[in-house]
Amino acid sequence: MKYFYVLLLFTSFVFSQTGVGVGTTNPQQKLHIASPTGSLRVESLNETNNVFNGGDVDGDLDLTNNTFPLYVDDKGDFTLELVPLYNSEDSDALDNTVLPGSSVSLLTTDTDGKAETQITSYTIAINRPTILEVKYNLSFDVYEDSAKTIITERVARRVSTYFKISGLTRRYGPASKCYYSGSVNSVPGSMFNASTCYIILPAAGSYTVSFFGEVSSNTKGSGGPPTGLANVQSTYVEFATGNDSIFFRLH
Amino acid sequence: MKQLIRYIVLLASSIALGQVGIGTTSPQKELHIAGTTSTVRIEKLNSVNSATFNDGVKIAPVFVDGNGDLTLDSGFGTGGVEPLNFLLDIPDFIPDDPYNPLGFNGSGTVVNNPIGVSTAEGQIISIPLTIPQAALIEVKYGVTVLIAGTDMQAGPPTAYTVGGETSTIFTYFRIDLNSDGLSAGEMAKKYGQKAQMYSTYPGGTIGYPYMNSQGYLSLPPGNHSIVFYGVVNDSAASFTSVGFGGTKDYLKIRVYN
Repeated sequence: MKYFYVLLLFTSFVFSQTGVGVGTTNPQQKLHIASPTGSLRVESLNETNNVFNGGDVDGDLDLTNNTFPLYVDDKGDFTLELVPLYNSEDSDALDNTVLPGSSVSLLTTDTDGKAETQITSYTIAINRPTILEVKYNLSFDVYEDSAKTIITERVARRVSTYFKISGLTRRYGPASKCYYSGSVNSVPGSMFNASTCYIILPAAGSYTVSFFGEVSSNTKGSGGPPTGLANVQSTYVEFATGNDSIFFRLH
Repeated sequence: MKQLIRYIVLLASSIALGQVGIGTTSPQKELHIAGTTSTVRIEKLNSVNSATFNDGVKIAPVFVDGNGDLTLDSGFGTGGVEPLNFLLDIPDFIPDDPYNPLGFNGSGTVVNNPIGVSTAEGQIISIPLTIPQAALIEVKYGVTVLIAGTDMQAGPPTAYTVGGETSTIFTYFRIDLNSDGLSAGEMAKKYGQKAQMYSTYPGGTIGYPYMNSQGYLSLPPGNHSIVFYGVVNDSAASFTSVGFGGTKDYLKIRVYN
């Protein structure tokens, strides 16, 4: 009887220098589960024990048809918790009171009628080519000058936000608004641009994600400005005045 | 021989009938690792042995390959579709009644900014939100706005806003955990901000511009509420009334994993 039990065990469970086999006597890995239908159950990841496992989400009393992506942490341990690269949640991701580049001035002497500022930047290090997902909500207020004079000359401005990636040439996630103000009783903001973008980062390395704000005024080719106005209207835009949000995820 | 028997007894306490149990004598699967905190460490996948995909800082997704081996290689291709759990998908989540023809007066879909006030905030709508698991959720929404110079809670607009005066309209949402009313801490947390300006001379448009935005936040499981707010900023000398959600809006929320 003892020998039978030993045999029973060893038909399906084999210690060898290669590893442990379940359902095979020839394991190809340290743990090799050979059954075509058998799976691996880890109770610490189930509905009862793991707060990130939603269990019977669809309410059909079947726990087998609700699935959750599995990850491993730096030690190789299993986890169901997704942690994005960065999520500002409810906090203010961009604070205009501490970011020196959060404002831009467009002067009447500007030659092309456009001015931009780098609001902030983030550095991302990756070990492989990947896709970066970016979401942002970025606020701004529009004034005539840095003394925060409300605009009254009734000429529109265009304000854009976008970001650039070091080593890549184009602008990503652009969003724009035109601001127009009458002669009295106008408010300067706040306005919010919201945008999303996916970017392919082509190789392992370090990348800088830089957020920019741009303002333009009166850049038409001919005809001149309204009587008494300069060709370019003085403008001061302060970015990141509200509760701004930024989200990064690597895929 | 006694040592061998002891070894067999030790094994039998955790191994039975082609199934392996660690921490249980009644394994339910081929390999069953019991215990509320126990897990599996696969050192091949750790940051030393799989440095390309596991950099030691960020978590890495696990897939299985054609041989059934667990791998950190990408899951692209047929069968590589990952599960999405949509929690809410409401095509028109705010009643289409910005100025009361349906008798929806007092619904909170209209926010008035009266004379003497420069910033007015009002609740637009509260939507029940059941979260099955602790999760990062993605909220995407589009809300329409209609802007007038007369109180749209009292009826259809009869006047435009004062010509040439720029006002701004701001939307965002808060989360009422367990739907027990917004605490001071919950009131302080705003998500999914979007704002735009409006200005016109007499005339203008009665169209419905959209406020589109998104928010990402971590929530515990439970029966919560997502509460949308509208803010109207204008001159204290003027009256501005904004109806939110007068035509087709959308709200889509999913577990983001």
